[in-house]
Amino acid sequence: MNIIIKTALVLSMLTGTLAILLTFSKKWFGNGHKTELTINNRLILNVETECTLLRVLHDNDIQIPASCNSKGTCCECKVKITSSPPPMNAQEQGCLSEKEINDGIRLSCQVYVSNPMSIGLSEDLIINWKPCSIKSIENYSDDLAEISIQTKSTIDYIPGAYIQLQFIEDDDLKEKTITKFYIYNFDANADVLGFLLDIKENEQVMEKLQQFKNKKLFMSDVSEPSELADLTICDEKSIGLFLSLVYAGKNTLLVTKKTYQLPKEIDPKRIIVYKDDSELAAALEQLIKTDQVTDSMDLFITGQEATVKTIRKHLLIRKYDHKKIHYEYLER
Amino acid sequence: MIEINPLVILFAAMLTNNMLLSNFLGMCSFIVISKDVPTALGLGQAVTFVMTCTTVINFLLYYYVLVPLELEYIRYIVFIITIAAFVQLVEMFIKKYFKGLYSSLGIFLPLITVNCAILGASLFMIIRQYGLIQSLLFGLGSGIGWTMALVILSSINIKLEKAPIPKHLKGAGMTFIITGIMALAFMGFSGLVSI
Repeated sequence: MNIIIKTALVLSMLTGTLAILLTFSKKWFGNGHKTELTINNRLILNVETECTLLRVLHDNDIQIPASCNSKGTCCECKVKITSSPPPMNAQEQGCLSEKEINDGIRLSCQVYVSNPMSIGLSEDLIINWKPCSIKSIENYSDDLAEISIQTKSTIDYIPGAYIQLQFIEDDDLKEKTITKFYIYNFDANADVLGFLLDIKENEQVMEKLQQFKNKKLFMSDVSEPSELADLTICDEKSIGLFLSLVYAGKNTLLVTKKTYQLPKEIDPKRIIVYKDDSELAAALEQLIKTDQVTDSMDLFITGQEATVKTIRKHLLIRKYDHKKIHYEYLER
Repeated sequence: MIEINPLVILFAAMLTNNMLLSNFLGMCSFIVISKDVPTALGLGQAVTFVMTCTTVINFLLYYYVLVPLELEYIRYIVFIITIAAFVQLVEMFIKKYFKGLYSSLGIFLPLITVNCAILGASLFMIIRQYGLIQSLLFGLGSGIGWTMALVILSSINIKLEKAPIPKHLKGAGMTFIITGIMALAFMGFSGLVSI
């Protein structure tokens, strides 16, 4: 009996002492200093140093997929580290291909944030969704609809900027659509922002907007103007961008198959109406001849895939530098 | 207590009675970590530190707590608890001050707890009836010996990367063969000191 009590006493005293020691030393060693984590060169987080990158991102509501509870076996939490990537451990070597390793991709659950670090993430992951609602949908002209979005806060708006709207169809299934809209403000109120859409070209989007007229949606932050181009070429899909850039005094062109009733003050030279690809090519040729499009310009083409491809192809044939032609497909 | 010069024990633990090469204790991390020298050196240092400190702590616990209370039979539990707590401390320390080492050691740092060489050192010290200074130097010597073996093996492994080894021998198989040869080589020290 005596020996049992003695054993219990000795063991509990030993474990107790060690537990207290560990708790205190955790306080001593554990509280790391803070450091900066830069995401996509714009979002800067102030983070604790002793955490893994994955933990830090999850704590900041950036949901990197991961399923193995930081063991480094599911190989899902890959993140591109744009500052000097840390050395790898065995788990990472097993998960990553040679190309990924050279590109600076690491498993975020194995990387500790120590010094200031910068990483690149897909934009979808770092959007800070805020609730908003549709204030009105009105006809701007026969072809165009103007949509106003009521936001909760004041919006700083720069011509050429865009927001993304998230339509959540079903909360349980997490079924959602994300659509990008270029801002074209026509309301003086700073907490209302609007955009113009071609009704026929954007049938599905218009339908969705009608459907969500009285429901809550979520909007992203207002972006920086997507491209600081010398010339922006828009088409029917991006007519809102065209108008906002025209009023902001930026160099822009509208390439369209149909004639819009646009305000008279817009220089008709900025609008190119064409019927088929050959006419578009001829019009582009004319622009090149009159030096409206030169090869020293940074170009940004945005709109339907077919139009963008035709314009880009033509410019490439004319030996324009492909690095100077930026483009985006608004809908595939 | 046994009468041996503590320095003899230190050198014997490093060379003739090398924990790894004469008793083959602590093989698991030895095989996996032996791929590059800085990491091997880091793990070696951690093991040496843990081994030295735990032999001393365990010595004090054994002779001043367990023996007077006639509780020698729970020494395994006591030793392991001490080692586990100590490894936690070392882990926190390395995590805070040596981030690179921490991530390259990965899972093997907390696994020092179950490194048999460390428990082995504590148990040998009891079996061989060492005194306090002898135990301290025995722990230190064993740790240095283990580190030495690990560093030598990892340097050999770097050379082996470019050597024409049969495909199926690569990795652990070759490591065992090399360890065997190293053990034979270390037997050459046997005339030097003995314990």
